[in-house]
Amino acid sequence: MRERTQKSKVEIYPYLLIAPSLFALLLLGAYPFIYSVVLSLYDINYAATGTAGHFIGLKNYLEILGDYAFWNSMLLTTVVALIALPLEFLIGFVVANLFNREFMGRKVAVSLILIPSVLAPVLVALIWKFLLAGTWGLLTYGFFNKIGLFKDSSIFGSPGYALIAIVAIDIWEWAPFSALVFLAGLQSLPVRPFEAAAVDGASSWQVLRHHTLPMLSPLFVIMGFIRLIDLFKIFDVIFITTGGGPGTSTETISIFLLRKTFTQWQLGQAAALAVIVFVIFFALCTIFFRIAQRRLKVF
Amino acid sequence: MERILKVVLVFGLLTFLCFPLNAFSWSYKEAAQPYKGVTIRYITEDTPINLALKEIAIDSFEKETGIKVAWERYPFSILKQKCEMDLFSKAGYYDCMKMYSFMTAMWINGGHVLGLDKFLKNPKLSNPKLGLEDFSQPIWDKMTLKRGSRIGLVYYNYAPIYYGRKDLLNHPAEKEAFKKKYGYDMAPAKTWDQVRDIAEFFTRKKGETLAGEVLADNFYGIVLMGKRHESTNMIWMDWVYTFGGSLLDKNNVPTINSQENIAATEFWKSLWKFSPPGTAEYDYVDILMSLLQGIAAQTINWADFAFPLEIPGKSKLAGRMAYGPIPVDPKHQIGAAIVEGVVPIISSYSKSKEATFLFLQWLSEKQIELKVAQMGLASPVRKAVWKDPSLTSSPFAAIYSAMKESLDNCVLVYGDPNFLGWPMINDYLSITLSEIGTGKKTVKEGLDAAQKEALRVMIPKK
Repeated sequence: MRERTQKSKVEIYPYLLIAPSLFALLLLGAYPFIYSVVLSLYDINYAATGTAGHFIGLKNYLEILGDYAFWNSMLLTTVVALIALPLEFLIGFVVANLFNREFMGRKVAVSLILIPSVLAPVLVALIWKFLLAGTWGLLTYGFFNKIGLFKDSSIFGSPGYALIAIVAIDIWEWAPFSALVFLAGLQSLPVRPFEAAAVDGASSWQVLRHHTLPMLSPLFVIMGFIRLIDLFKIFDVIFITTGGGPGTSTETISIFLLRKTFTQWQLGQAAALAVIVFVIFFALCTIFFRIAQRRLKVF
Repeated sequence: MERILKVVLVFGLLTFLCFPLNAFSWSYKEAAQPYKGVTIRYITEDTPINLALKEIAIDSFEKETGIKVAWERYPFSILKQKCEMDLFSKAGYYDCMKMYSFMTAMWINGGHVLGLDKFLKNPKLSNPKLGLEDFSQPIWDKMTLKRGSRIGLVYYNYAPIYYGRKDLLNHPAEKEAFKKKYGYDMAPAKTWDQVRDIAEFFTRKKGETLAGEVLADNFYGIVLMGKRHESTNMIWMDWVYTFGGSLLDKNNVPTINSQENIAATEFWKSLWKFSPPGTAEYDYVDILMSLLQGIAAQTINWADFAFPLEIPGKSKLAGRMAYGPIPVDPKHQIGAAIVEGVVPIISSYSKSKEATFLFLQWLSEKQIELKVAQMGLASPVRKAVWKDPSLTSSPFAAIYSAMKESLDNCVLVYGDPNFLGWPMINDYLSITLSEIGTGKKTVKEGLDAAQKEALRVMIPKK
């Protein structure tokens, strides 16, 4: 009997140790989420009533899912993520390989290429606004117009170009960070497999395909995960440069959420939107996770 | 009887003496005595006028009253969120904040704004020399009187005006060519037709001649605001109201796709071809930048952006601009300028209402408004300030005069507390105008869709 009590004490002890952290996590993570779910079931529309409203069940979800603007913003966010992520990785990996050899000024160069990634996103947005603004932007006026480009249009004022510019700015900002992470990965790879490959006369492409990429795959997965989450939350650059326009041509899900929340004050719908985005994103992450586990044997 | 008469006389004399003593002895120092050491929180927009506020009003108020003012400034979008979160959650962290006219319905109907009538009637708090009758009408009542109750005091306002390049409009060769083409003398535009003619006349390609000089870059007859932005909506409404249109009828039913509004928007859109290619991304700052860059002949913008153009040595356009009120449509001859209607109000949840009221009075004193105007930060609202010689004989007199004319014709579109749902309609309108500007929708398609949305929001199905 005494032995049993002793055993149960041992079993409870670890849980007691993690209880404070678990409680804090629940308070900070789960409570706001549950509160959002509750809000999403109410007609809270300050713009129309000036006050909070009543329980309406799933009506907010149906409104959001039936709203063209929601699907448009989801599509645009996906397009931005699907174009920006591979390009950031490609550029980052090429740059990492260039820096993975000794040359004069290498350390300074590594620090310099990191500048875009360490700048505050708002500053990044302002820099590009000043560079690409129609007619008075430094690059627009000083370069593009001189070579005959954007004479009768402007980058942030044209639906097609504006989205391309947003993707390009994101790549400019985050490709250096990918380069740094990949460089750290490359430098931590074991030397022997590469020496063996050299002895066997493997070509550079074979070394890359059969050694470097498989060994770096956990890093790719983790980075992909982090950047995908970031890209789905892209906000600052769009908010400052285009505000989601022209029309809704750069309105990603974060901008749409901002409209529903702080512009239109439809808090019930905004909460429903947040829950929908969470569910979609959770499903995507789970699929991503499973693929990484099965195909790449990571995690 | 004589004794009674003496008592009545003495009592009457004392009353007579006491009344003026009370009226003339009122001071902020004395009124603030019970609130000395109290801290009030004032949240405001990060604009030049509010940057200068410490120097203009806060330091002197703190010194005079002993009431501390914790003063925070944010860009408009953040300011709006902070204010509304504070009010809707009834937190009462901020005592005083700015209510822009398009927030009126939400804030008033939610009971978030404190009525000031009881303070204005309280002789201990109300400054008898504040001179409420000095505030210009109709702007004063339109801004601060809601459902019969005074909800704020003002110390400035923003109004849009017409800007034109005087040096080009008066250039002899250009004037002659203009008269030959259009059949009348060129001058700063008073009507929209003149705006259009001037815009068309001055839109020229690189290599052509302008005022005797060969152009190194394209030149544009007008620069317009077209960014998906609240300010674009407000400036667009200048066209709408001068064309005889409106957003609501007398029964508060939306009229966004009325014939007048469609005509006004068609006209507004027709000017885009004379505006630089960046129009769809331009807000009020971009307009200023384009003027400073010297690539446009005219614009419609907020009046306070005119002052940087007139600083000698810093602006190459100093002394070369003409200003005027919003032009009119010749058919309607309706003078209208959409004003922002910025009113400092007291939160219903403020914990220091009386001290905040004293601060509001201080802000709306004549000398504060005069300083604001002299520094070129915003349009005055007091009649006495408009007449002040420092303004009438100032180098900026032309700007003040245009501001005054604009304010005299002011329209406060959504200052009506019954205009519920405006934030949603405004948001939808900003997208619609951006789509019309970039050609994604025709004017009729865009305004029909906006009307449908407005009806859905304002008149929900039962």
